[in-house]
Amino acid sequence: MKKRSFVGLWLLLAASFLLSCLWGRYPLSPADLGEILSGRAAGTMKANVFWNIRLSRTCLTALCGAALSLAGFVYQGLFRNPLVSPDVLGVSGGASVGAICAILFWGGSLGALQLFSFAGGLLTVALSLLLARAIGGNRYFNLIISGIILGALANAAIMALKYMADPTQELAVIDYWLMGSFHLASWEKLRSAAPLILLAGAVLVVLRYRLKVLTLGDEEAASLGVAVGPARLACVACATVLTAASVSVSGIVSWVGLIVPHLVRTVLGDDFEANFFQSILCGAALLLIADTLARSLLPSEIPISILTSLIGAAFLAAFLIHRKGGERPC
Amino acid sequence: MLSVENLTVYRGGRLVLDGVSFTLNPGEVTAVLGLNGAGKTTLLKAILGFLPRQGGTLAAGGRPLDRLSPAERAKKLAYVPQRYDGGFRYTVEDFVSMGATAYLGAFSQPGRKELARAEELLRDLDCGHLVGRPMDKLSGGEQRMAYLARAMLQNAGCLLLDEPVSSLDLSRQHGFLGRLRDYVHRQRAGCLLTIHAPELAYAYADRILILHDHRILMDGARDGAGFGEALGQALGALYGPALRVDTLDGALVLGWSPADHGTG
Repeated sequence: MKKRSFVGLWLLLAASFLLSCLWGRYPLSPADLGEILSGRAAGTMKANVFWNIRLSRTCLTALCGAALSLAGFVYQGLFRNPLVSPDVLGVSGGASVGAICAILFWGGSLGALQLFSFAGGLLTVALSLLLARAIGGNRYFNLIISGIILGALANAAIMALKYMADPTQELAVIDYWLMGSFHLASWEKLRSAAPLILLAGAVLVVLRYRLKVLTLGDEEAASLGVAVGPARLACVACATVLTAASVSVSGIVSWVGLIVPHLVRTVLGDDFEANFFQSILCGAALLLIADTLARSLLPSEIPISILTSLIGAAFLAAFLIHRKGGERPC
Repeated sequence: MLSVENLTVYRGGRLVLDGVSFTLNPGEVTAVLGLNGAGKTTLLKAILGFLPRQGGTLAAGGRPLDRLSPAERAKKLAYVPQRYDGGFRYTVEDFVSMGATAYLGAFSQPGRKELARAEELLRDLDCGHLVGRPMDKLSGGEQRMAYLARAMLQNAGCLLLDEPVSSLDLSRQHGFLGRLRDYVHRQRAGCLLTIHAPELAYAYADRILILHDHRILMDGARDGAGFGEALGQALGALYGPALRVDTLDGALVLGWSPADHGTG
């Protein structure tokens, strides 16, 4: 069963990767792909579209889908709550504030946008953790409430900055960023985000068993021999880097981190070790499909969060109705 | 084994434990009795380091617990909490295998060997049929057995159990405590469990501690001279004059006469 699900997910990922490479405003056929890969189409429009636009976008989308889903899986485990998403500690809000500042005060250069949103995300989570510590008491509750507070502050800042923005130009750019899109994907973006995502992901792979024990609760984990504080902090830091790095290249892509771990558990069955890797594969595949739809459904490109929110909300409703029978533990 | 000296704990500014001292002996089941709020759970959690203490020293095998790493501590003390509250769905054998965590390298996880051992321990506890079932779907009694199996796999010098039989029916209470006692005697482990029923403590514990007014009111070994009388007196102090204590065929029998309540 486990093996079959992995074969299925790898096939799904391969298929959606191929689909994303071929499908779009300038369609490529599998035969074209053969020519491009063998070098026979060198210098043509086809090869240009594939190497300079399609492939980098596909790789970046897959990477971000995997990163967001893994971050969601990790946060849901850490908080022992299946309804937690990667921005539970305010990472998206902080990243948005950073991105808007870059648009308003640094002319919105891509480098500044990415740097500021990444820094904004990390800073907000750090402040959430400090606030939770200052509140003291129950760890889960405090972290969630601190995340809500920091999220609200970030939201206030976002509204204030949007109010100050020039409505004819800057405001549209800001709104577009807040809805997420991979249309500005490039090899350069991939080069800057991939090392962070791969590093944080690798650390989480190493820590995944500690994370599993932490889902028993802090006290039980400690009594079984896990250094709870350091393990928890490392997991939060890695999940935050995953989210901030992907948000910084794509803008806000909502719901993926919340839904994919659920989907994996519901459809493929609960098994922590398997679900960890299934979330990564499934997240990459689903975001590739969403992005392919976003750029092919309408003549002009749709911001990706419109699709992910739509699909995510429908899925969550179906999930909750299905769960009514008391099938699941949380 | 485990020595607790002058343990003093405040919770929320309120004194809960005031200079509590005792030592656990190997191969001995020690039961802690006390009213609700007497500090039984606080005692366990303070020993395990989940709660800060305001005074006292804790040592296991001659080493202060504060100086041990989490993994070293887990090899000294195993913990069975009051209820199962997993944040994820695990199979029973997966859950039991987590008892091996302290013996694994920092980056490894239980493998085939640990899982096989977990299943073997479950079978030894007559719970072989639970293998493969999700932990959250088990009855309270079955979950207790899974915890016992996990504590056995953890192979710690001391077991600390927080009201392990409170929510179980009569036959499962006896089933659990009997198996726990066998394990403790066989492995020469230390064992501290909190419990509400004096009859069960009398039947299964080798030693009884009674917590009252933040202190130890009674600390007696079952084999010691005058144990029965001392226990009767301590229980009288705890529950008031309404309590009737007697023994029948070596078992403790309790009665309650509310009419006498408050007459002194």
